[in-house]
Formats: sequence, C-alpha cells, structure tokens
Amino acid sequence: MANILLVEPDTTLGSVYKQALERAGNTVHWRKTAASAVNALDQLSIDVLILEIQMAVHNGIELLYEIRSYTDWNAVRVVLHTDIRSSRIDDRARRDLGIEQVLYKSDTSLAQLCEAVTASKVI
Amino acid sequence: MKQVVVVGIVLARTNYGEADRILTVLTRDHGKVRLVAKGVRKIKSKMAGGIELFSVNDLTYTAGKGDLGTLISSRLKRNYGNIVTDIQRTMYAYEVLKSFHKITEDAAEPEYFDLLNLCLQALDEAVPIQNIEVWLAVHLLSIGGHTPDLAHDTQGQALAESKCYMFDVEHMTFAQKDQGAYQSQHIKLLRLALRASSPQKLSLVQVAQPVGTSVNALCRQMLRLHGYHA
Repeated sequence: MANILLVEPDTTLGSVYKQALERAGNTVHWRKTAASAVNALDQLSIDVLILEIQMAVHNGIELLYEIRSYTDWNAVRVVLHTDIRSSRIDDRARRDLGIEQVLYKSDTSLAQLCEAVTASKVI
Repeated sequence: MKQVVVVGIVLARTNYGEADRILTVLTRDHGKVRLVAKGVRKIKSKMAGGIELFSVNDLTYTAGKGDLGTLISSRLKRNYGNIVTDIQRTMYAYEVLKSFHKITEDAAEPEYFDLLNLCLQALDEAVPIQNIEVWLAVHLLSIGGHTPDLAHDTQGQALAESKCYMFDVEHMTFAQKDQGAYQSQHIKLLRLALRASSPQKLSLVQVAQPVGTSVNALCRQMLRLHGYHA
C-alpha cells in the first residue's frame, strides 16, 4: 500500500481522513501546514500527497509549485482533496503541477478518497 | 570577485545539490540573471525570506565565470503577500511568472521588470484578474513590437463607431465585417488598456462583462500567436 502525506489543516477532518486511509492499509503522515509538509517530504519517502489547497500562510498551490521545483519530488503523486470546486483549478495548473485527481470534499466519501489513492499509478 | 547589487523579482527556483537553489531573477538593470543561493533549502537560512516568489528583493551577488552568479545577500524590499490569500490569484501569478520567464529567454528589457512589478502589485491589490490580463497583454505586445492597430482597419480606413469588425491576428488589425464580433466598445477597451499606466487605472473604467470577456479572449489569441504564452 501507499506511503501517504496528508496535508489537512482541519484537526477533526484530518483525524478522520487519517484513520480511514490507515484502515485501508496505507501508512499516513499527517501535516497541517505547507511548511511542515515540505519538512515531511524532506525526511520521508512519500508516494502520494493528499492535499487541501486552502491553507493559511502558504496555500496548497504554492506548496505544489515548491514541490515540483525539486526534481527529486517530481514523482510524488498528487490528489487534491479540497473545499474548492474542481472547476476552479484550471487545466494548465493541473498539468503543470501533476495533479492526478481533484476531489471536492463535500461530494467525496471516505471510500472514494481511499479509492483515489489506490487508483494512483504508483500503487 | 566583482559584486553586483540589483533589484529583482524571482521568476523560478530549482534545486541544486542538497541544500542549494538556483534562482532565475528578472532585474531591471541587468536583465535576467541566474544565481546560486547556498543553503536556502534549510528552513532557517537567513536568506530564505528575501527570495520568496511574488516579491521584489534587493540582491547582492558575485558574478561567476559562466552565466551563474552566487547570491551573497538578499533583502525583501516589497512582498506581494496578498496574492496567495486567493487560489485563483495564486494560480494566475504563477502563470505570469512562467510567461515572463519564457518571454525574457533571449533578452530582458527594463520594461519587462516594470510590467511584472505592476502586474504583481495589481494582483496584490485584488484588481480583477480579467483587467490585469487585458492590460498585461496589450503592454507585452507593445514592448514586443506587436501593438494592435487600434486606429485603422485593414483597408486603411479609420475604425468607425457604427461598424462591426473581425480581428486579423496575423496583421494585428481589425477588418470590417458585417456581424463581426468586435465593435467600438471592444476597440475602446483595448485603447484604454494601452493608455492606462497600470491595471488599477484600467479598473476605474466600467466595462460590460461580455465585452471584457471577449477582449480578454482576443488578447489571449494575440499572445498565443506571437509566442507569449508559457
């Protein structure tokens, strides 16, 4: 299964997602900010990044551009799991940032979130 | 070694070894420079704050033998921190940086720095993105020598208030055509954008949404044809 970096600023939601993803057999590292996510990427070997892009200080788009500016992190698979509607993430950004899926939180069940990780090409 | 002091805006960053970064910086007086920033990947680096994206920085570097200088110090001069409070603005700002990176591949005139600075400032001040796009497009075209002819049509006739036009992108000129998509209000918006010294000034003008959208689409088409898109 996958080594997941979950970046979710909300404590309650993060806890629920972490448990669900772990129950599906994944190893989950949960961080609440973009800066701590960069640290985690530096220290851990991550297969899949599950990311909420609405965050304080540095948002998820900034985090993704930062990640993609490092050649050694280009292989990290990215699933956006966010409160922002998929239509607001333009195609160019998806392509440039290697975003595999955009899941709108309100429409996505925990099972679908786990499926998104399984569907990721790395697994 | 010779030290150079510049005011610059970081266009791109990439990793270089374990802890170093290569910065591509657009400067006003020295064009585009590539600098090695040593140790900036470490979070506590003293230089880290001065090399953020969407900011203007005072940079001191030593020029190397090749085209790669070494950054000695940096100081944040102006940070456009409001940009990243909005996802749409953030995405557009990255797109703008990439475009400038591409446009200035061969030569970076001082005008490009000023244009980028004004554009980031407008994004920071929450000027509608559509207005910024139109303003930026006509000014980029103008610097590149591709200013659309906003006075005469393809036949050399003065553009008329009552007529409809299509746009000949290749010749950057309007051509009279019944049922053409462009009328006087579209042409006026392009003229205003060209005359406005900043996107903020253009935003003072009330423009009907369909006109703005249509002009924006035309501007994108012009930029694409002339190779401005990243």
